Amino acid sequence: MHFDLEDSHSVPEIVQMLRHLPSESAPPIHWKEFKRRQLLRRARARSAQQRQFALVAAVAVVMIGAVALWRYLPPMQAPMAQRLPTAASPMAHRPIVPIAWDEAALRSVASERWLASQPAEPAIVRVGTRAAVTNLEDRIAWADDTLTSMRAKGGEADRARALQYERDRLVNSLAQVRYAETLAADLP
Amino acid sequence: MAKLVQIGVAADLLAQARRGDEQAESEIYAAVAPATFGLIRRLVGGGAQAEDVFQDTMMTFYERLPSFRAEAPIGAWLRQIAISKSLMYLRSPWHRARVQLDTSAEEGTGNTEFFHLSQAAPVAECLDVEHALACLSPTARAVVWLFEVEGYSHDEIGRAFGRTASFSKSQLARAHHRLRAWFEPAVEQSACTSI
Repeated sequence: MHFDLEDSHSVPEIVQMLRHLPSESAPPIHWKEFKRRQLLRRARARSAQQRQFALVAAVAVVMIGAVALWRYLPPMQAPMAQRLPTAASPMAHRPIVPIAWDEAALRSVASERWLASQPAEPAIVRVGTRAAVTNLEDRIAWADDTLTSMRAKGGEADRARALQYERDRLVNSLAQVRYAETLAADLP
Repeated sequence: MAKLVQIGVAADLLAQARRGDEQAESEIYAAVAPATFGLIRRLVGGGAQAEDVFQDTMMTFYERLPSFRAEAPIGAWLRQIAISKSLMYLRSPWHRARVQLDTSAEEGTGNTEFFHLSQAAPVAECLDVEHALACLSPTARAVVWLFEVEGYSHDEIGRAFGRTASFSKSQLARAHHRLRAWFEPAVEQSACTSI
């Protein structure tokens, strides 16, 4: 838009020209397109809200699992090698109750079967549980190695049974953590 | 052409739109969209940014429509939303970074395209007030438009920008100087450098 102006223009003249500029402009989108985008944005907002809720729920489940694991497992201050049953350690004098032992062993076998049926990697990988799972798997592997060497040497039946009991508890703990992960992954 | 602040809609149409009647919403859209987009283009400039701000404004408008108390024309209420969204865009870090990049690119090539136009074709191009506005920085352009055309006070502009009334006054004074320089290139040679 051009205006015929004098050689000199004062501010009021310029302001007057500004006020005469067109105040309307064809909108970039028509009503139907606007409505479509509006619905799309609402759907996205709803979906984001649901994802946030699912994430919070998953974190809560994992935290509950982690707390349960922490309460269930013995303290980890000393390395595992130092906690081997010795004459002075409590494990050496731990009374082995046959019924509890059988129950633990059965649970361990069932847990191992269930673990084997799980995918190698969890559906949702979270650093917190990942570290716990790795730790448990390492300790189970260490218990397996120690048991194998003890059986090869022969003798120390009580210590071997105590170690086997410890291993079963570790396997059950691992199953609990993996179960918590599965619940978290299945959340909508 | 009606200014946005003057646009009103019938009470029954408004009531239907509040109840979520799509036909009524569509009629209100047809009544207010052109003036809304016109205002946003004046404040933000053209292009995709103006379209984004327009869409955001209209979505907020329909979301808040049930809470509209009809104490003022609906256009005045919508104008508030549009201006708020536009200024929010102008204040956004993303927009500032873009302006900085544009400024550095221009500095690399010497003068701006507008400056060359004002030197080479003073009669045709210098009389174009649209070009003169485009030559201002986005902030100065918004201040000029809000004060001179929309009738905002310096206090209101300062508040809208999250600054003081002095900020608005100084921006306006410099923009006036720049606009005069645009129309009278002899006043200042570098009329198109950013404010």
